[in-house]
Parts: sequence; C-alpha cells; structure tokens
Amino acid sequence: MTALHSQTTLSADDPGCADALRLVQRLNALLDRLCTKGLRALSSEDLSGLRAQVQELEVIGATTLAEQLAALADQIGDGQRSAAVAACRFRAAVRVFERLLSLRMVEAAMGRAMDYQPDHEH
Amino acid sequence: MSTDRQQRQCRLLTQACAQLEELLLGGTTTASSASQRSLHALFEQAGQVGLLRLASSLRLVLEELKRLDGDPDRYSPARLCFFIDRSWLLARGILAAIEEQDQAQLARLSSASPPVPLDEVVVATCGVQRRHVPGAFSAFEFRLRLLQPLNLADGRELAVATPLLWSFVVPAVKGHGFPAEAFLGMRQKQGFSPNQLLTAQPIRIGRCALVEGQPQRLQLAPDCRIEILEQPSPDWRALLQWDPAGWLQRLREHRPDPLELPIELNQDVLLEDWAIGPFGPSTMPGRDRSERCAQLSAAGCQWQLRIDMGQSHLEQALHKGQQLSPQPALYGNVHVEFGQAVLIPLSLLGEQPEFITIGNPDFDRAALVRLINRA
Repeated sequence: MTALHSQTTLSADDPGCADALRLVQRLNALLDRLCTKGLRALSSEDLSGLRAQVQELEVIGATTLAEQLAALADQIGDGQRSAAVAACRFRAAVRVFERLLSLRMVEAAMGRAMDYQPDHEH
Repeated sequence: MSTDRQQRQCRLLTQACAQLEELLLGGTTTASSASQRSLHALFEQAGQVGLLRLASSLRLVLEELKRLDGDPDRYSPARLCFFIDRSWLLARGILAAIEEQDQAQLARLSSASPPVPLDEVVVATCGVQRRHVPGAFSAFEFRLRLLQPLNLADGRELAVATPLLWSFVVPAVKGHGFPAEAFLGMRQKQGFSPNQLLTAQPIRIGRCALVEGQPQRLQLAPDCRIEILEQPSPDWRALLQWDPAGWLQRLREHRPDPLELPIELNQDVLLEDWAIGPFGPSTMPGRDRSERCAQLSAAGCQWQLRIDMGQSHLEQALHKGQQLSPQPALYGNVHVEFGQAVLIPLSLLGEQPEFITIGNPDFDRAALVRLINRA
C-alpha cells in the first residue's frame, strides 16, 4: 500500500486528479473490451492501444502502474499464459489507485468545506 | 479445519484460478456450454466447502455469461470482468491464506461472520433505500436505529442510535409486471407485512440475529415477532446526528484493498439547508440506462445524489421538499466513488421521517393475490 501512495505525483487538490480518474475510466473500459475479446485474440492494433495507455500513465506520474501495464502488454504480445495473471493483478492495482485518488479528492473537498465552517455544529 | 477439507479447498481454488484465467485468455466467445457447466460445478463445490464469498462471486460470473447468450440487452462486459477479477482475487487470496495458515485472513475472505442471536431489539425506521434490478430482484433496505442499548454475548454494547439494516428482497418472477411496492403488503411467515415498519413509532423485534457489516444487519428468525409500540416517537435529530469530522478522519485513515466495494466505506448523513439541481442520466460508465443523478449542495460540499432509474416519484418528492418552508432535512447514506461523494437518499425529516423512496403506484391487487397463491 505504501508503494501505491507514491504511485503518482498528483495531489488531491490538483485539477489533474479529475484527468487521472478519466484515464482510469478509459483504461477500465479498454481492459473490459480486451478481456471479453480474449487476450490471445488481440490484434497489433489492440496492443498499440494498450501501450498508448502506458505513456498516459507515465504522464500523470503513475510510474509503477505504467511499468505493470508495459509488462502486461509484453506478455500478451509474446502469447504467454501468464498474461491472464498479470491482467488480474494490474486491474487490482488500478482499482486501488482509483480508490486512493477518489478518497483523497473527497477528503480534500470536505476538508476545505469544514475549514470554511469553523463553528459548524455537528 | 481438517487437512482433508483444506486440501479439497486448495484443489478447488487452483481449478477456479485456472478456469478464470482461461476465460480471460480465450474471451467470451470460448465460454462454451461445457466451460460454463464446469464453472457451475466449481460454484456448487465452493459452497459445499464453505467458500461462500467465492461461490457468490462465481455465481455472478455465470449469470453474466448467461445474459450474453439469452438477454444481450442486459449483458454488461464491465460487470462480467469485475466478477471474473473478484473471483480470481478471492481464490488467490484464500490459497495464500491457507498456505500461510493465516486464519484471520481466511475467515475474512472465505465467508461472512456467523450471525449473533438476539432476544429482542427496539428500533425506529429512519429511512428506506429502494433498489430495483430489472429481471433479477427488488429490495427494500430499511435503515433502522437502536432506541435502547444492546448488550451482546461477546461483551460488546451497541449504543442507542447504532445504525442497523433489515433487507426485504423480492426475487423477480418472469411474466409479471407488479411494482416492487406491491410486495410490501405481503404477509411474511412471521405474521407481519414489511409496510408496517413504515411508521414513526418505535418497533420491538423479538428473536432475530445480528450479522456484522457496515452497517450491521438484522436477520429475522422464523418465529420472530414484530410489535409496533404505543410510545412517543423518538428525538429524530438526536438519533440521526452525525459527525462530519469523524467521517473525514475515516476517509483519511482508510487504506483500500482491491476486494472492497465502494459502498462498504459509508456514512449516514443528515443534511439541513440543501439544494438539488435537475436530474439526468448517470455519468458513470455503463450506468446511464440504470441510474439517474443530480448535483446536491449542502454543508459547504457538493454531493452526487444517485437513484435507480424509474423513480420519478422520488425525483418529484425531492424537488418539492427543497421548496418547503421550513425545509425538511435530507437523510441519506454517503460513499465515495470515482472522486465524488455519492449520496443515496433515504427519507426527508420534518417532525418525523417521510419515506419518499417508497412510491404509491397503481396495481391489480387481485392479480397479485392470485400470483402469490399460485407460488
């Protein structure tokens, strides 16, 4: 879990957080499509689409996720059976990343609201 | 647990991982009848050896695969992939827990905690969440609060105002179009109708059980007795008082794991002085046909208020409630999802709760009685 906290250079107040969440949603939709198609059946175009997401993850500073996705794309490209395990592990990592980002965004918004209401009665 | 049982579990878990991985490698077009039968066998065996969470998750994979063939309009690739991943994580996690003899992790991953029997509880109904999954089920989650402290056998005490939940689930029956509310008047085997709980009076529930969760759930025993008490209504605002600083602290301290569902970290809130915008289809991927959302402002924050599709009565009640003077408070349950605080409305609170989530649709009562008598 500590490693994931250093997954990205984004902070909760950063407008890039919303962009990062949109990237996660695009990544999930892409993976859903590829997994239902079958990892063995992916075309070179599908793999290019995956590798493009590696770069997007690097842009937002999610370097560990980017490395995991690059490794997954390599295993799929090499036709390795281990690609299925790598896919499940990567999706689990993305899920935790999204949860952390979401929690920090809502925490930051709520913290700001409470700072503006110092006499708020609970 | 016996070594023999654990060995059976390990063999089953290894087979489950292999089948799920094969499903990912081959895709849904290779999910033949034979492979679905094999997955079904694993689902049954998982239940038999006590791996109930895994069994439940495998069942949902099978249901989605069946929808792909038989009901493609309701098939969801996102849902299928979610439950494949979940099943794989559970199977792998349980295998690791067995290998490491980590009993706590094993208990957490394999099945729910056993229910704790209770002689009686005295509660108040504060709100209801209505859920409707077309073709699957309708459910009413009654949100209750303890009106008297409860001492448990393990030494814990549950304080007044502890949240509890009772679910009334109505499975879908093919061929009938009765609204979910129609079933609230059905007499249960314990001799009460769920709509009797839609009251501002205190309620005594005898012979039930408590199941751990967030919130804790009540299970009614077959000989459970429900009694509406002729006592004054509780102090609702004291009962539903909540601590925003405490919720903020929980958000800060929470460390998510890949198996958690967003709704598992949740908080009941009572919002005074709220304003709601227009409703529209959900902006969450894949949910634009099943959910509607509106922006809500309250307590200096923005919330995404979310309801199931087809609840125009609820939309109207919320917009009407917003205009009332004095404005009733909005009681709801909040969780965090995709960067937003998502609020599920449960009731409006003036002098007492108004159960706005329960509609009043017309239906043929005689036809419903005939359907029930046939069942």
